[in-house]
Amino acid sequence: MPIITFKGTVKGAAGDLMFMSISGPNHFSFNQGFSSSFTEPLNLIPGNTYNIAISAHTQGTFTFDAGGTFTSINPAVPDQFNGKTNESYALVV
Amino acid sequence: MPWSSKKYLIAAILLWSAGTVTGQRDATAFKALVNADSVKYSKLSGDDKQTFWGILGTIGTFSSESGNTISLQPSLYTLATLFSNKVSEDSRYAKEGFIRNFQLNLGVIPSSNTILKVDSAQFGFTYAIKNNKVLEKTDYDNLLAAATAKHFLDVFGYLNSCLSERAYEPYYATIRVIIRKSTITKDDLKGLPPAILHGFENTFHAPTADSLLGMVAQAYNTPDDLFNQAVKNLPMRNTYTVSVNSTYDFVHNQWAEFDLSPLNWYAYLFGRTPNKPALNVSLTYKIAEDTTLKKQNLSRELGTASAGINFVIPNPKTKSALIEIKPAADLQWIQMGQYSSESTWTVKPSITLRVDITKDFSIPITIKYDKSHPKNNLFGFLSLQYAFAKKGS
Repeated sequence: MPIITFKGTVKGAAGDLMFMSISGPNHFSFNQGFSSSFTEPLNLIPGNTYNIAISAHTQGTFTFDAGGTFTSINPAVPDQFNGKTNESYALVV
Repeated sequence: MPWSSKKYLIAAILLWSAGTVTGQRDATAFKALVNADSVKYSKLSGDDKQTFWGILGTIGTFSSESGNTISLQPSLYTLATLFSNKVSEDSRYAKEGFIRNFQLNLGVIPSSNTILKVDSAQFGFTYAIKNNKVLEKTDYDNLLAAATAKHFLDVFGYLNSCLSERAYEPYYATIRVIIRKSTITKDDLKGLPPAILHGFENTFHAPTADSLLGMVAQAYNTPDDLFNQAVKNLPMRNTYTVSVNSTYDFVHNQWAEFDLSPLNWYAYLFGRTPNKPALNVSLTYKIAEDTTLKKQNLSRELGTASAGINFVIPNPKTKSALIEIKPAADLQWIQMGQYSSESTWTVKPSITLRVDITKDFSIPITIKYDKSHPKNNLFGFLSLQYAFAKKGS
């Protein structure tokens, strides 16, 4: 299975209050909270669609990125988020 | 290099510094910094900002007593972010407390004839021993560790998992709309089918369907509530700074003054809610030129202890400071170099009226009473205070 690496990076602040939820077929579920920048590698099955939800609160800005080999992520992830953000993405591996 | 050339060079460096920072506003690091400080300072009173700015501020003072001053006060951290993008990343940010709390005080006093010529220049620094007006790593850890944060993750994770259930495909758009909101109401949840709402009962035990929606909405709003409360309390934390400043006189080519301020304390004594009165106490010891002597000297020494209370009248709509009134008093004593017309101990009462035009721009007007000048014992000081911090810039 390919490893998809989810990465959140905070800038201009000492941390953030961030939650990431990933769901997929066969009741795949990953739910985690973070208080600073993080890197989370996950083994995801090719051909499947995974739903990624993020919720972040910080005094700075943050970037969120999915790295590795996958087909698409929709909508496109912006270069940077400011302050408070909730977003939902569909990742096709 | 002769001082006549150096003074133009210093003025050019100050202007270049301001221009450089402004020109760098598109850089990611500076954006992050500005955003963080914008949140931090948006609720501060102008008087509190003047105690310690910590990012990049310009303060122009036009007074009848000491001449005009144009100053620039970048923190070392602000300067570091101009050269390294990595400095602003959270792991570094949390460790860089020293440079975040170390502020340079640079200023020029233009000639009374032309602003393009500099009579004196000021060099110094302010270090904030206590400057906790920003969320630190432990604050974020505590937010995450709050018991209610787990309930949010239960709701958030459950809604996201519904996007992977084929049976709920007609409701995917509704679920995504909810997930993309930082806060929701019970009404937002009413568009979900009973099957999804039933799933919330695994986490919440409510007597009625309506109260269940209320509990889910409350849990969902937890991070926003926790974060907003934490940020709201930040401006009311106390500040304690020390500073050392000097003034070089280009006209007479000599150091004109050295100031040591071992205490500048800004404290909200009456509760940590915005717009409460704040006590400002400071102590300054100054070594200055005795102008009665012909030869170069720094033989005049005087100290000043100041205390004042700043009262804020907030804007009724935004709740931010609109008008500030600060009655204060300076107790000055002359240790050495007392002029014949002066008393050893002098009390100078003053009142400062500050109009906060925007959260970045304020105009303080200070009226000071000095009884040692029998004919003209009222002095006025008009200042312009501007901070280069705009949200989203």
